[in-house]
Amino acid sequence: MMTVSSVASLRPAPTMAIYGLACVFLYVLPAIVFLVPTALVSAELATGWDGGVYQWVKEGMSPKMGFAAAWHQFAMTIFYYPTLLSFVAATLAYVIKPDLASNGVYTAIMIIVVFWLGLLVTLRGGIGVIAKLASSGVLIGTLIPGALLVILGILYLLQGNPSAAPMTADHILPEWTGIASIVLIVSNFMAYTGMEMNAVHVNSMKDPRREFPKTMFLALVLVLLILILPPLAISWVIPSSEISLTAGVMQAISAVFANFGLSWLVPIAGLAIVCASLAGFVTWLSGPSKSLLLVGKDGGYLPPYFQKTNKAGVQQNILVVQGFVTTVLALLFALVPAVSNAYWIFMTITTSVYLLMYLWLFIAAYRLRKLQPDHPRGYRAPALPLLCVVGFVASLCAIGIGFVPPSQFGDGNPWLYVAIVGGGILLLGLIIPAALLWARKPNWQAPVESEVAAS
Amino acid sequence: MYMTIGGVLAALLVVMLVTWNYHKSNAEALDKANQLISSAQAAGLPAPNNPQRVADTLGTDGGEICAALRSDQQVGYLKTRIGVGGEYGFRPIILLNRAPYEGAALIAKTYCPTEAAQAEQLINSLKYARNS
Repeated sequence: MMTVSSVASLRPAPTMAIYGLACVFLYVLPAIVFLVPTALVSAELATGWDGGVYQWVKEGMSPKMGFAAAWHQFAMTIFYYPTLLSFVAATLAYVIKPDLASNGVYTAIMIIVVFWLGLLVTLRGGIGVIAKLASSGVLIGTLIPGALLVILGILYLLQGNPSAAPMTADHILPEWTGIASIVLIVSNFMAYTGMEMNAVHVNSMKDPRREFPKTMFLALVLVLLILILPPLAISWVIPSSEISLTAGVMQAISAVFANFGLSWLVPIAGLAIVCASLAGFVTWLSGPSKSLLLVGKDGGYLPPYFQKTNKAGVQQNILVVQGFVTTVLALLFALVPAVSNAYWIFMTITTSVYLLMYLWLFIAAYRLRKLQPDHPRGYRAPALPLLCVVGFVASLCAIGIGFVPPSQFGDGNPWLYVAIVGGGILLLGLIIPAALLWARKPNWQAPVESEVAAS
Repeated sequence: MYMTIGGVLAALLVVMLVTWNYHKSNAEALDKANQLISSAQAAGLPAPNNPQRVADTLGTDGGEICAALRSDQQVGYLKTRIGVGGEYGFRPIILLNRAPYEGAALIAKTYCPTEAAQAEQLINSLKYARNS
């Protein structure tokens, strides 16, 4: 459930509904070339080595690359929270007082308050609480509203209404428009990032070697269903011109519910969706930062200050510093129009940096099969070399596509865009981790007491 | 801890249930819904077939669309969201054509004419794979 909460969501459903039946193809193809390799490879690695991405890449490549992988996974969360939490703020405003959504001060306060409350819960509760919250969040906020949308969509068709989007065989494939189509398909790989993240908590499972692969398969099926069926149902009921991108998930839900006289359910659905986003938020808050803590302790890559944990074993100082960074970003995002307008560029850069981690993950998995063929693994992925090659090439393509200027860039100079994205990736993906490695001091290495060593 | 979280969520639910506008669809809202449907038909866009549903969804104030257009931050967030993808990993894409946005522009024109220029500006500032 933690994996589902960090990957699947109803948020993209209205946007994807525009593509009608083609959204099935747009989700299934990237699932085959990216989601399946990631899920299977993570399952094998997690059942052979504890400690998540850092440990896998460290064993398969080198300790420094292990640190880089953990950093690349963590770095992308930096810019993520303001957008996720501003979605929570807007959803609450939609129900309580729609005018509030236009108020930057309200948005900034909501992002900051919700972030620090989430942080407090994480610090107090540790992983047990997070897992329970994530499970209930997904159930309440994603599975139930998603299922309701699908049932209402089917009812709509059963009542004899024609589907708003054509559902014939010639609409299975999206319209081919050259580079725009390639960008569309490849950018959908991003829908599946995060499958590997919770492997870092694998030790908290009762019998990880048996349970983790099972969990991954279940998560894989659920993620596909949650991503594909709700947009399809929306596209049956609402014409694509009406599901403007501006409208967002609440408006789409209101429109579908209104069709059945169920508008009174909208506030409940709103709260449910807020719960799902918060579940995703606490999962992201605890996963990558925990990875960074293991790295910091195991290899002494972080100053001792960042290696401190509280009584519940939670990486308090990493999280608190991240809290201050998020607070500043939230203020800039909500109150400075120039920042909110260009925020998508930061997201593009951090997503590309995150994808670098997948390159290291696939290389490490391939090398570990060669270097340590007899190392016990609870699960062995079939045709692992092929999976690694497919996953590696898919990730590389997704990084490459990051350099194609999207719609938001308008008529700007494409080379300027390439320079901004390239520079950003270089700074966040190479220069900062290299500087941390360079600044490392021998006394940063903690006495052997980390979770990795203990297990 | 669970009790506290449950309590906060329950309180939030009560606030949401109390504050939600259950009567969005009044005569004025229906009137605006019919206006929107006629202008969609005139513009050759696939028009909503049920004025009641439009009235329920957009009310008299244009709902989320008009609220978003009044705020630079929301427009910025919208720009971040243009594209597809999952909870975290979304990346901006190249839009095929203006069609999905024309509906939003019509909503702005009908419900919040003062924001119509903002909607037009947003639509024009984007790049499309096709100009038609």
